[in-house]
Amino acid sequence: MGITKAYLKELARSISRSKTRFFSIMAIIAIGVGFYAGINATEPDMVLSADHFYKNTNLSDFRIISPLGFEEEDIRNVEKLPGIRHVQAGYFTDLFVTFDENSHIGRIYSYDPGRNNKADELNRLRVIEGRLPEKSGEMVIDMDVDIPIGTEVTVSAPKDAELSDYLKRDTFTIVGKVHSPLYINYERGQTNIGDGSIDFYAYILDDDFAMERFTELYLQTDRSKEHLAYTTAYKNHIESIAAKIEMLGKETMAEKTAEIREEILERKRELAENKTTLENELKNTERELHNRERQLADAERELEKNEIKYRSEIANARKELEDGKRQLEEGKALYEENYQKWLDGKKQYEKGLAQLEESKKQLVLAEQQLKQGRRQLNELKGGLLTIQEIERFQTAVNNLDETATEEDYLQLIVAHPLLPESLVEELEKFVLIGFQENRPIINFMLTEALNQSLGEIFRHPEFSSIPPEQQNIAMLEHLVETTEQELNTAQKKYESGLQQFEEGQKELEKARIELEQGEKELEQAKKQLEDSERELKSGEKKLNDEERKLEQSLREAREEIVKGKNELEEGWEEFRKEKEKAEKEIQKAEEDLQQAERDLEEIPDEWIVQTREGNPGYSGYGDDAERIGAIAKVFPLFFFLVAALVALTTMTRMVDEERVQIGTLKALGYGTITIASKYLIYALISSLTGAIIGLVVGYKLFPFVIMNAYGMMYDIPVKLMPFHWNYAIISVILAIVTTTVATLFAIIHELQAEPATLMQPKAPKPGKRIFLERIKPFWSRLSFSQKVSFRNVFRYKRRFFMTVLGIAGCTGLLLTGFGIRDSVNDIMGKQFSEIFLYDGQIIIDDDKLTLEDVHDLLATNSDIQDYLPVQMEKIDVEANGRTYEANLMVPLDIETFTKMIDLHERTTGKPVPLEADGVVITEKLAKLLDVGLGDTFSFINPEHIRYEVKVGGIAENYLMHYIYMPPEYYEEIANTDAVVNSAMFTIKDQENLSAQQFKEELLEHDGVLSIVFLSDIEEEFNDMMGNLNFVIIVIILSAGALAFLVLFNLTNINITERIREIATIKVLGFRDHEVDAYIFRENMLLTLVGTFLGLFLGILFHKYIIRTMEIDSMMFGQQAHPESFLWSILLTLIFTLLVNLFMHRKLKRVNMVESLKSVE
Amino acid sequence: MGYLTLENVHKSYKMGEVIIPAVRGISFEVEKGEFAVVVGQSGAGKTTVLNLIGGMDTLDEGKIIVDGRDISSYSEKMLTEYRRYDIGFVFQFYNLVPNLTARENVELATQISRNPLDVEKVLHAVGLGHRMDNFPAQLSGGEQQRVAIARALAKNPKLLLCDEPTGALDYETGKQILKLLQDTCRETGMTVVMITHNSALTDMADRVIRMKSGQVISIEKNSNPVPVERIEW
Repeated sequence: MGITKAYLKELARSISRSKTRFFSIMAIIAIGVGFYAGINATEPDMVLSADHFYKNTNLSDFRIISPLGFEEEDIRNVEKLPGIRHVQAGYFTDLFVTFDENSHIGRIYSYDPGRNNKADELNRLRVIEGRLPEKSGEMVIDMDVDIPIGTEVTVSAPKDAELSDYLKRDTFTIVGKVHSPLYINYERGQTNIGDGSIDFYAYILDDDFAMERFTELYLQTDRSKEHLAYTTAYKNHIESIAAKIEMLGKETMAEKTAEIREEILERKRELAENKTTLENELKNTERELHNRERQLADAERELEKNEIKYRSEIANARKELEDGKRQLEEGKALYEENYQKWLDGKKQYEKGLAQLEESKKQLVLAEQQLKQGRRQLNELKGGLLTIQEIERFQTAVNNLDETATEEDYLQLIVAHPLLPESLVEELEKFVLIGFQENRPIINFMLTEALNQSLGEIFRHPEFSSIPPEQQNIAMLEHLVETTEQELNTAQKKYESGLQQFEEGQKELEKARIELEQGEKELEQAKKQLEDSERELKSGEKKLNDEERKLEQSLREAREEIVKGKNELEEGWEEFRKEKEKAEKEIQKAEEDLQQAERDLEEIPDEWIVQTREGNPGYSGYGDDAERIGAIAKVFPLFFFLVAALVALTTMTRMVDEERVQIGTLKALGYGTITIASKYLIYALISSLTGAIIGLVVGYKLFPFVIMNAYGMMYDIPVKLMPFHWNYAIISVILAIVTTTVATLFAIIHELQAEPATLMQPKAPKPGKRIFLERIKPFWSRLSFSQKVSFRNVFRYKRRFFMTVLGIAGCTGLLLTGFGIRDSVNDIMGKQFSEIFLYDGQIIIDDDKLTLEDVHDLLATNSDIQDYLPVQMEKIDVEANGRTYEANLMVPLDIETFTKMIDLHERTTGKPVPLEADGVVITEKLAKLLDVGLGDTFSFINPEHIRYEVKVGGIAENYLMHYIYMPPEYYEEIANTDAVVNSAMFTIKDQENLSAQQFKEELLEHDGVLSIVFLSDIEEEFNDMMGNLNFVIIVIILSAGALAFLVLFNLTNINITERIREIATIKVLGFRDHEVDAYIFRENMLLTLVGTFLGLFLGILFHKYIIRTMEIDSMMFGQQAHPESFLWSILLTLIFTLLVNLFMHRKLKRVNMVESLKSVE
Repeated sequence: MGYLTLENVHKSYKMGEVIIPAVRGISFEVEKGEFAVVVGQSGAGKTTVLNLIGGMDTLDEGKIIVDGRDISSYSEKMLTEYRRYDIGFVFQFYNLVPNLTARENVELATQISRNPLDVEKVLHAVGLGHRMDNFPAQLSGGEQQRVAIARALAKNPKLLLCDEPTGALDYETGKQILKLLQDTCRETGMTVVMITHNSALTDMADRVIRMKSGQVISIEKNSNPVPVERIEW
């Protein structure tokens, strides 16, 4: 019997009756197929979209840069190469572009308006806004730059360069924003100016460039359009041509460098000549100076000699002078003595003179006394005479008696000397008047007058000493006599005195003459002394004058010498300066030459031939597409398998359920094929529908979502999502085959049975003791319901395995998804927080800065906590015929190094010390090289020297390859000290650091080439990996959806299979939650077992994917993080719970009456 | 009013757009300790009645009062409790949990009962003392039904409801099972309601309720029930 109408009806009904089953198969297949086909289509879609874009924009296949620029001839040579369709020459230079007062680094390219939109224009610009430059001074700029059209920008060259060497003008007006196919991602490349990273690109007219030679050539091959970008065919095509270009480059460069080498040689010769001339000149000057020096020394010596001579002469003269002085003093003293003596003599003389005077006076006095005495004597004699007279007169008077006549009187009276005249007159009168009458009176008067004269005589001093009673003549006479005697004695005495006096006078006279003589002599001596003194004085003065003169002349001479010396010193100084200058000049010239030589050495001996792979955007996109492809290779397949597994379970269940019906149909005479075909058709319809839905959605959704995610990073305006028949066919076949084959397997067994057997209810599977029951201590501890659950779990082995496998698959997928994310994040996380502890790196020009300079520069920087000078080099490591680029790092200080980079083993976390007898290499490199501890391998440094080194340790590392070498070991193998060309540093206060300022400050120093912060690299990398993260989230979500579906389906089957049992326990009075628990406990148990197994599956799967995805220069995190395990477990459990929640309603709705109706 | 009272109970099922009345206003009473048999043809509605009494289904109209409580007003939750504590069910196809031993099947019920009987005693009482640790598949139909009865009895319910307990058994075994039920009723004073299509079995009942087309056609009280052994069919 064939397929009847009733049969079809039955088929339709069975579909509509079991919508859940039908749709769950459909959904699960849809997800499986969609995911498989979608993820698989993503890589080709990405490649196709990019390729479309590249072809539209005529992306060049090669970019060639010559270190010396290209001449017309070079271009013609390149054009002549076989396989080259078109060559487009241009200029580019990296300059500072300033606008809005901010300076940026821009890569300025030339644009030739003449070629605009011509078919062969390479790297066509897409105008996003505005227009392309048309005349000088116009510029179009990178579309990512936030700058309004019409803005004027200023272009400037770095300090050590002239803008005019590059461009003809320095201001430009932005006329448009463009997108260059050379830049499809955020990377703008590196440069050697400013902080080293290019901020944007811009195009100006080629006429605005002032450079002589073209700096770059863009090439298109004749068959590049025939190949799809990123394909092996394209790569092979390009490689064959690349080799030719490289060859041409090498030849051209060899020619050009030979010219330069010749030039350098010429300059060297010139320098050598100049050097000799200069050196000769210097030698002459030096000789002259030496002569002058000698002369000066001679003069100085002579001066000294003269000085000594003159000084001794002066000293002699002075001594003589001193002697003269002493003699003078002596003379003076003698003179003084003589003078004193003379004075004494004079004094004596004067004394003698005084004595003589005195004696003269005494003589005079004695003479006077003598005269006096004589007079006295005379007086005495006179007195005596007088007295005698008086007496005679008295007698006469007395004799004059009455007889005397007047005349007698008168004669007596008048002539008498004794009488005073007055008396005499009076007496005369009286006598005349009457003499006899008056005679008494006259007598009286005469006596009186005589008495009186007598009295007078006695009153005389000579007589006064005589007492009056003796006053008598005798006495007087005696007195006169004695006096006379005395007078005579006195006379004699006087006379002898006079004689003596006269003698003395004579002596004195002699002495006086002597004195006068002495005085004269003294006078003479004094004069002599004064003369000699004067002489001495004048001699001294002369001497002093002479000395002064000597001093003066000495001083002058000395001054002369000092002056001479100073002049000499100046001469030397000048000489030294000149010499230094000359040396410096020579050195500089030599250095320049050396630099030129070095430059020449450094000038690559070939052109830089960049294929599209050299464009980071291009290769990054390719890598990303490839990564997706890698994920697509296995992940969706596994995904698909889980789906197929569930589909299989579902179909098996369906066949089981319809066992009786199969029997009936069979009994009714339906053929085996007819009966089977129902299920096959059912499976076919559901899986095919699912597959178609999956394809339709998957082909659009996954590539779209993923390309959109990458669109944030890559400016590829095209998103092509064609229908990929290959994946469609593969996945549809896979889907249909798995489900139908599964169905076939399920029914084949049933179909072999007799209809009668089939119509019997399938004998319930006999209960059995499970092995757990044998573990008595465990089993007896279980509650009844737990026992039941355990037994149930183990009883339905197929369900057990299906469920466990399904859940394990889901957990595994989840874990893989999370794990990939961990692995990718580990690159950054572990690399930049656990391994690289330093914050940044300063790149130094080792020609300009020495180690000391580096120390000076960094030790004083207030922001830097620690720093470590290192030698860093990009080296090539060879192994198994492949070359890997690695970084050689020679830290100068091991102790600081441990603060900068934490080298440790990945698995044990044990530190890997940097020890003197070996290098520490990073894990991935060790794996690629297939070396272990103690093994050796070799690397080639940039100077093409090969070194063999021993592996002393293998350290965890994720990004790029590193070879860490202790300085001692470096010295040992390289026979030279490490050259510091970089320094790692840590920052004190990372949070408050102004990175911009920090960079600028350091970059001000000549010789600091650039500063790189790890955080910048990290950020860049994070951006890059962020997209992969997004893809991974898509995977996780898909895995989650699958997990949910799988669980749902399996639980659903579980419940359907056991509906009677459920009804029974419901009848027994199990409350809803008890019923739930009865079923879900098993579910949970299965889920737990499945999850547990899934973790192992996930680990394996994750490892596999990592290995597939990993690129050579990176190591992905090798293990999923614990939290990913937790998440995978948790998500699976959450899904289980969700499914349980969903199933709770179903369980609640289980109709006891219906379910327990007798088995039909 | 009896221990179990049904008053004008109606129940109909919806099958698609067709409403099939299963029970149309039936009323009867069963006294405590009675062995009641509901007898009728296939489709007479007896299983529906039993399901309604057993709280497995809700009625559309009328009242069911068990031990003074109106279970017809019970919510689903209360019905679960009612089944749990007051009802023991014996099915035609035993409905043992195949994955549990005889003892465990009984334990499945006693686990949730308030005053369960001793599992082993009950199993001994049903004559399965020696096969307690066997799985249903290892037991014969009669033995399985004994387990089912033991499971129902061990709960120590107020009502023991049996739905064609011998329907799938051979004559002898069926007889033994019926005897077991009758003896249990007699010995423990348990109220038993059994449905059967076999009129011969009415002799062993204390009360016979005959049904036809969803209606009770007669209720007889049998003052002299016959021991099962003496019934032949």
